Amino acid sequence: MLNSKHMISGKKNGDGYLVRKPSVRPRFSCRPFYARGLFLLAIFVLLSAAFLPGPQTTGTKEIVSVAKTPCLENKLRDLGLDLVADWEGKIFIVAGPEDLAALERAKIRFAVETSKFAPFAQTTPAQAGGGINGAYHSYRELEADMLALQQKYPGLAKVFDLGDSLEKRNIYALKISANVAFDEDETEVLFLGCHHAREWISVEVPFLFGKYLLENYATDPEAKRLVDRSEVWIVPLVNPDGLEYTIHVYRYWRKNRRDNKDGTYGIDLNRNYGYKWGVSNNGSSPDPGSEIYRGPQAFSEPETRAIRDFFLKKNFQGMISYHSFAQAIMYPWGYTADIPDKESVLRDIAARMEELIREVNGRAYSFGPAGQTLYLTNGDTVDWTFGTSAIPSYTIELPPIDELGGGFFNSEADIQSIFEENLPAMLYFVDRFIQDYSPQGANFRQDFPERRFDKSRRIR
Amino acid sequence: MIRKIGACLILSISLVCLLAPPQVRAQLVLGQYEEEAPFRTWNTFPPALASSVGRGGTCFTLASDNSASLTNPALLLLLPRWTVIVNGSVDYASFFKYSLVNTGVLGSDGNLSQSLYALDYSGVSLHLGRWAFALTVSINELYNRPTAVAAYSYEETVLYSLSLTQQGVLRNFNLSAAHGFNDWLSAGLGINFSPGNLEREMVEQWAQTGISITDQKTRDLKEFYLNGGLLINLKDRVRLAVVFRTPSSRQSKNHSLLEYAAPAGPTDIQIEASSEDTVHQPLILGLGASCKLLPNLWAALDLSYYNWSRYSVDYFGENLERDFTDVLKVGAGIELQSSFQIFGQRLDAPLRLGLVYDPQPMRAPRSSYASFTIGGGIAWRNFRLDVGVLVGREFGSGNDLAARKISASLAFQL
Repeated sequence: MLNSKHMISGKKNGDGYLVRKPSVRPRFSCRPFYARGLFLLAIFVLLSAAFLPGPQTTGTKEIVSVAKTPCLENKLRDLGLDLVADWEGKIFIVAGPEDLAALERAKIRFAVETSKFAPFAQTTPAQAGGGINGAYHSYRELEADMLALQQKYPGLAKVFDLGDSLEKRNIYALKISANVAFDEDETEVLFLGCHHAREWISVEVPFLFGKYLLENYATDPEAKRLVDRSEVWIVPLVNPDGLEYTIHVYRYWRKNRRDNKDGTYGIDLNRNYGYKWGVSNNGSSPDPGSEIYRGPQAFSEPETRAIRDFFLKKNFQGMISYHSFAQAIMYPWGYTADIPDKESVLRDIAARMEELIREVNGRAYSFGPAGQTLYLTNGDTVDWTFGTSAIPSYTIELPPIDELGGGFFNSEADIQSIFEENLPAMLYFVDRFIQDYSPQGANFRQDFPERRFDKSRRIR
Repeated sequence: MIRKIGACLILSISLVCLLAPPQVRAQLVLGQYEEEAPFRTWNTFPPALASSVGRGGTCFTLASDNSASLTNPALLLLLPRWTVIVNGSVDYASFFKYSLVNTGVLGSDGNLSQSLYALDYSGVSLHLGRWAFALTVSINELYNRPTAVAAYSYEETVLYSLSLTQQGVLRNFNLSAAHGFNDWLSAGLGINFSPGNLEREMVEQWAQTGISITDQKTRDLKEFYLNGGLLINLKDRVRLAVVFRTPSSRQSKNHSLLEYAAPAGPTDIQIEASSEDTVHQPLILGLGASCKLLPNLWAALDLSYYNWSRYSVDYFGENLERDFTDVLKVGAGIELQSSFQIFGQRLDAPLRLGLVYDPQPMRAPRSSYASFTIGGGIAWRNFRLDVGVLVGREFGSGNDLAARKISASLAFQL
């Protein structure tokens, strides 16, 4: 068999992505028959391995790590904990619920690292006909599901079209509130998802939150209270074009689908917002080929303009933008390592959310100012909402914690559990602003600079 | 006896070759997601064998062989009693944008090109009085793309690699019958069954972490449709034809497997899905005319209308947007019959020239191929060898794409 193969030479630029290089040369080679045989054999072996039973799990115990210092080491020994390893400046401990409680009582910070030692992860394939990306939403599936919620809960849910993406897909917002057709004087909270196309889990968590509120409204007094006393806005898919590209063409695509007219595509929507946009080339890039290309100007993209215009017409009290991966809760600033004034309020909320998340299944999220927690970012959503409106704003990086745990992949079986571990924090976040809300918006805003926007510009 | 054995041999070999995996690669795709786009051109009807390639693809009113069964079976009545033929083609096409190549992940500064070879047609026909019959096997469409490999190395160690492969074929089995009502009117009808498959695989690997991402997509295709035509033969000087290919629902069993493996995790995440979908293929109508300008010179014109605006693709339960518009493909050509003597043997040697205008269905960018064709043949006793060459250039996309085709056929006629 004659097989024509093209070699596209490339190298990685500073951001770790392929850059263009002109040498494209056809190379002809014969694909030997035995290569197919080996390939089939490898598939057989892999499939066989997948059906082998995995090792036994460790029950309810977790493996946690604590920073290694002489003082802490002694404290741990005093607590009678099972220290199993000392590696790369950390002490690893096998801890049951009581041990974890003891660590908390002793105010010893720890990170749950069980996933790094987990048995071989087996996942169940999606059911046939479940869509090309399995249990995850495509654009069309999400549209259908959001409209289905609106139809099923007409008094509580309403879908809004915030505008079009570059490829003319709608950017939808789901509003959840009692008397949803009316713009009541209630606290408003915003949840965003999928600025970055490959972060599929970031679509699911905010969407499932909306679904949870609606499905439990009739039976759960707490859900009912939140829906009755607030207006929860959910925009689970800010970057629909990018998401579709990840489904049909390339799973690890990050940006939107802007043709930069130089052979490169895409602008990083989470570097395209207008606060401290392009303030340095450290937290964003002027290079169109970069994965963190900020665009030619702030709000150059219809997707970010749709969010901006929507946000400016509302009176949000708090905002969370979901991303993956890292297991982190981050608040401003992203553009600098400096911390904002009144940081303590932001930190308190983040700490409480982290605590609530960890209580679900022991998975720890780090938290802190974005510029200190992960890396510098300028032109991102959270800096813009906080910088221009002074509302508590968070980026939550969902699991896994690292690439070895899956990177931008989460198994379909993990969608629900990741949502469930975030649910208490989301409920708390809404409740927090209900508690602090007054018609004049006085209580919470005292902690922050004066806001620029008022309710007269609400959308209906 | 020898002739019968020869005919059987040609038929057997060609059938075996056609049923074997195709030996071909490549196609132009102007859009980003159209992995189902067939090789070189969307307008794969009428299929062109060597003789018709040479005269601009015209085959509605002129027939040198039984490939007429795929377009206008009425032409089978113009063939000798028996015709057995096998045809092979070498195709060349250049590409710029397809899948993840030049759509944001892999970049090339120039067009990618690919040559391919396929034994793409074999058939046998029988002409009995006012009736004629044909059984043919052909390759209707190919879905191959150039294999793309990108790698990042440091000190001769490959740290990162990404590869993309895609291949696929749609075969066609055709059974046709034709009937001559009188000296000037005849009609023919063909039944077609087209099975096929398409496979695409993308593998991305990071050597240092051992992480790999594999994205495999497959489609098993199946389709039934009818084709037919009327031929009006006016004093054997002017021929007019009307042909059709019915719209059809191409059934597609799709499977997708996306896998993320990080052995050091250890993590192995698989997202798997399958579906049964439909691709609605358009109605195709054709008008043909040919005229004997001189006793040994024919001129022909074929017009093919493709109802692409009705084309629709469902994929994993979702309708994929294809912003297509109807197109009219035009082929025109001449065929000069000549003969000469060599070693006391008379040989017929037709010469052919033609032009093809082949607009593609995408609304944006508007794109068309313009091609020049040339061909010839040689016939000795019951054997006939034809060769056709097409050289084309694409206009509209701005990528200056090229298309070439060399087709050769060997026929036995009795």
